[in-house]
Amino acid sequence: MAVPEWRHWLHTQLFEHVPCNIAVIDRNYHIVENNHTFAEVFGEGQGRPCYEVYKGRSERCENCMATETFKDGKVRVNDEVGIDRKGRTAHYIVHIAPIFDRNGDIPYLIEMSTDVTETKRLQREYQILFERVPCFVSVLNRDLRIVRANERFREIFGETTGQHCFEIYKRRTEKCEDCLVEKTFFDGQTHSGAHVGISKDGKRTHYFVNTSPLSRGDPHISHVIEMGLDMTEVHKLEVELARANALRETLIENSIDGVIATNPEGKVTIFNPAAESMLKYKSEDLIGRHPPDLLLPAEFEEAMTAHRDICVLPEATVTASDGEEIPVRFSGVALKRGKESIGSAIFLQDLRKIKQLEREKIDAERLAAVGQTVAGLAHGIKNILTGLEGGMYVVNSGLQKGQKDRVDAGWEMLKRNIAKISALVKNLLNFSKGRTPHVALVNPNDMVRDIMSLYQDAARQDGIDLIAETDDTVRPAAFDPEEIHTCLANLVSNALDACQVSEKTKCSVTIRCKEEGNSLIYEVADEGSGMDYEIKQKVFTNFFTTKGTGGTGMGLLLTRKIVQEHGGKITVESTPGEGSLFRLVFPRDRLPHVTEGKPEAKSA
Amino acid sequence: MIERMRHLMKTKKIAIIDDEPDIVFYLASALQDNGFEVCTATNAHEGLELIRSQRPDLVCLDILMPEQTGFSLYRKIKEDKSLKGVRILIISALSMEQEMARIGSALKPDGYIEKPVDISLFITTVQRLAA
Repeated sequence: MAVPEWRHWLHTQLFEHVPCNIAVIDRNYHIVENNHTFAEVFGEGQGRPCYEVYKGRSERCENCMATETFKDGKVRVNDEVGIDRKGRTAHYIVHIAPIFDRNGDIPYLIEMSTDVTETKRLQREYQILFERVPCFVSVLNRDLRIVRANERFREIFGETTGQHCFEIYKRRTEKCEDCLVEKTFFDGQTHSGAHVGISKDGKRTHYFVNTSPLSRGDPHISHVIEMGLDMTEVHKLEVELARANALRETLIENSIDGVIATNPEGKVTIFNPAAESMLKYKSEDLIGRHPPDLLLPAEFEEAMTAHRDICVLPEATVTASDGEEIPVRFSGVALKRGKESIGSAIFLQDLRKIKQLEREKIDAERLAAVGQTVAGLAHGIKNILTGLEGGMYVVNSGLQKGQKDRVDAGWEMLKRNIAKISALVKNLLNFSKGRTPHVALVNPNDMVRDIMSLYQDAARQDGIDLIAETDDTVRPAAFDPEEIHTCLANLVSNALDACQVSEKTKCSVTIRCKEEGNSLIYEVADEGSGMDYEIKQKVFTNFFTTKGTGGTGMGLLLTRKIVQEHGGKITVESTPGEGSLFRLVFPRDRLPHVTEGKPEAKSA
Repeated sequence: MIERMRHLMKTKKIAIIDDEPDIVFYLASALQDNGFEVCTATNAHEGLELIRSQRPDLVCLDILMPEQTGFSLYRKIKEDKSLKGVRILIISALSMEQEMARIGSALKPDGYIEKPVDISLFITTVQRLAA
């Protein structure tokens, strides 16, 4: 009977071709035969003890399974770790089977081992991946209980194995309505969605979850793997960003000031409602385009071209779509992130109302001053008239009585009062003439020097120290130098008088010029007689004079008028017997505009 | 003695207090020409001294004066019990309404005359008040 070909192959070739390491060992644990595959892994083993070949040992292993099988003849399967012929650790699963002889003894064993080194390695890698992946991963059974969970999961939700997922994720007592795991168990498909859970610390945890079936190839799914990506930080940032955006938008939309922003190409990205109503453009017409010419002041363009990051113009002009020139307080800022330009932002404070109010206030102050002036004027004139009538009466009665001295006295009265009325009229003209102010850009210190040269000699003769305190850091200011000169001359002349009236032997008058905040300040301080409360109350009104017939009471009135016309304020501090301090405060933003001289070109 | 003589002779003493020396001189001349005895001061401080020492029958007072204003002198005279009976004629460049508005207080003088002074009205008023 011929042996079939395959049977022949089986008997002769299988031993060599089976993808398995096969060795036959005798009761001395020596390998008597091994196949080719075995030799490739552990080297040629014939005649060598198995423990040497498998594990590089010099004696038998302690828990040697071959010994057991030699004893009881049972087949054994075990995981073993050995050393391959290159000295590397090799994982293999070994089957040990007895080979019985006719007597039922076991002279040999056959050991068949499969190399699982690669499988083990993969298993280890997957284990690391499972534990270390920056997601939380859990494996759930059909009962929705967590059978395994990775490191990240344990960090967030704590040690949880065995509990229901809904208890752990959401602290619920029953499963969620939209349970993805259940869906996956039902249809075997992957499902995903955003969820909010509660961490072991009780904090809301936002995560994006994905459920996949853990299938072993059969239609029955025993487990589902749930992978969640913690989005809490991202969600927090999203919420913050949304809040910041909403805040920014609300601020910009509701700002009373016009707000315009451009991108790095200079095209408009923001044009808020205040800017729309001020400049009479619609934001949709400007967004994405370059702002029209003249819309923004030239200084801003210059500043940006010169890489200056901030351009603040306390008083600038912007041009509306209908050509109206609108006075604004302008500030423009280059927007940067690090060194990268991300555009510019412009803030426009509409000054039209403020300007109007300022004008009205100055007008009201002027009217009030005029009212006081007229009342005071009437009083002054009435006094002089009474003096004139008195003179006439005295002359008349002197003539009637033939008393020459009485006529002379009356005549003197007439002369004095006529002189008074002409002085009054002259001052009045000065006071009221509609003189066009000649505003020029002047160094304020120069005014002090002029006054010094005017009064120094007279003061010295009267034994009074006239002191000038100027400050070189004071910037030029726009005012009518002649008028400011009049003011300072009045104050200094008053101060010198106060010193002369004073009982002190030594007396000084100081004229100061300085800058405080954004105001130009002149001060005239004297150590003269000072004033009590009632005089202080009246110094700027009613043609008030304490100088008897020596003054017309117009000096301070005129001074106040000039100061007010320059947008300034005059104040006085005084203590009887100690002296007085007159202060002229000129806020720079209220000073008049230059009307003459070369600075005009600059201001235009 | 002098007091009794004055009373007998019916010479009334009038004080004039005004910071304008010309006005003082004018009013004093007019009163003297009409037979009054006159004493004068050109400021409120001297005025008070004058009234206390001279005890005039009538004070003609400008209440718009510097330093110590005429108004405070007016009040002092009114408040000083020892000066009870001294009558006050206010002389002012403002009307009584304006004056009261200015000082923010009521005035109850015995007489009020506005500048410029109508001299015959002034004399008759003084005659009436000092009688």
